[in-house]
Amino acid sequence: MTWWCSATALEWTWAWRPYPGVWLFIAALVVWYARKNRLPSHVSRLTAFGAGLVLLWSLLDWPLGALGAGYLLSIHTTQYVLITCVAIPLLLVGIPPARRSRGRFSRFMAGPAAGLLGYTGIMAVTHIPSVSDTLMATQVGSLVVDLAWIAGALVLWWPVLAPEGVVRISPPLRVGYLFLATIPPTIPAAFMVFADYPLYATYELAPRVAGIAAGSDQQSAGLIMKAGADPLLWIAMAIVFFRWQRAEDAAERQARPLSPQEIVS
Amino acid sequence: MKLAIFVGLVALTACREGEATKGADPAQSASSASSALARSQLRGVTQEPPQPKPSLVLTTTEGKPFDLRKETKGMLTLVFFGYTNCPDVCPVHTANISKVLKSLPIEVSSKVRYIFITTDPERDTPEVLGKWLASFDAGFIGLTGTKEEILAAQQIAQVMPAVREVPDSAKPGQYFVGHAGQVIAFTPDDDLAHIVYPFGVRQMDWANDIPILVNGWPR
Repeated sequence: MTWWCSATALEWTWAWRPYPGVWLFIAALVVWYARKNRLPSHVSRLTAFGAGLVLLWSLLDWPLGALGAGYLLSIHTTQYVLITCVAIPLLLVGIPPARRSRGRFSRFMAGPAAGLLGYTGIMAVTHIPSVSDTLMATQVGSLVVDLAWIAGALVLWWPVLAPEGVVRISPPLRVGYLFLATIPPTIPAAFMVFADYPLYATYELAPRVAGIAAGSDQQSAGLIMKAGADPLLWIAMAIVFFRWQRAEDAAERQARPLSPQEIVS
Repeated sequence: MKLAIFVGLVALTACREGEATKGADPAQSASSASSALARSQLRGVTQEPPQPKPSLVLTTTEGKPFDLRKETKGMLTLVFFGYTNCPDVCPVHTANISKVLKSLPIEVSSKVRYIFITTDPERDTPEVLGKWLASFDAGFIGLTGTKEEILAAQQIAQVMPAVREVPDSAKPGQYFVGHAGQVIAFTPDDDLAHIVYPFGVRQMDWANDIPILVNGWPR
């Protein structure tokens, strides 16, 4: 029984394959959310968490999980980008307000330095060719890569999207922080696009899928890493900015004394 | 007494060796050191003793006879036994060599011949084989023959003979062929294969080794 998607070197077929490890992981998240959310939750929160969960499941399970683990680097990178920039932010948005937490750990996690360093470190290590080739060859290794990506995305988004009640950085800082987060992926993306030869043995020596050559697959992966992730982060920056502006306007309106005309009306 | 003579002989031999070393041409020493360095940089699997280029005459995809020794004289000759329906090893090896040859300078790539000998002559008709190879590189040479000729070619080339696996009953006419996975590299200076490249060799390995081997085996 194969529990988690990993590189197999077998010919790719479109015949469905079960990966029970992925189902158990998703089920564990559902149980955790249900226990945390005993009272009827806000519909938008529930929707966000549900959408994040469905996306995460589709990225880890067959066919994307299997294609990304052992056949196409472009799919592997798509998984990374969507887990980091869409699935995990949706899950965080869906988490109900927490009890106020201002402990040392909470403050550390909310700091931009911890977020950027944690995210960059995990991204860098999991994209080193020798590390990736070694890990993707086994189910446990592939699981470690997926969990590391999820952890990296959590530390990246925590200062921005931590549940209400938990320390976050201020809105203008969030915009700058998200801008800085667009920089680190440029490095692996550039290597993928401009390398003379394939960097990852896993994808270079894998049986070809739909005749896609290893070199063009790698170049597509580099473009997805940069051109796919950046717009998602820009959208997040725009949302943070306009929400902040709206909140500022509302606060200003409340603070301003009413004019005589407003009082009369 | 015998011991004294033995010690004396050993000492004399040592002196002569010392003199020989002293008298060696420094340019020759430097050249042999650089050859040893070049050999150590190669990423294929060296074989000792080297294997001679086989005397084979098979048929090209245009239906012409092809004498391997004659047609590839003075070229770095990469010989591979495979089949076009292969799902993994054959397309990966062929694609990797094709990609690297396209990226190398023309003065290097023009000295390389890639010879793909089918192990599935039944399905790999000259037309199928030619079309498949041309999809990688128009310069690749496909060879075919009768089953007996192909078997003999594999024996002469000292590779594991290909075995047709039992066809899947659900898909008539579809079967796999178990075959040797290594590319045999015959160097241009001596027509010997000092080195082979098993499956797992990567483009960066070919890009490293081909420019060394086109100049002959480093010695």
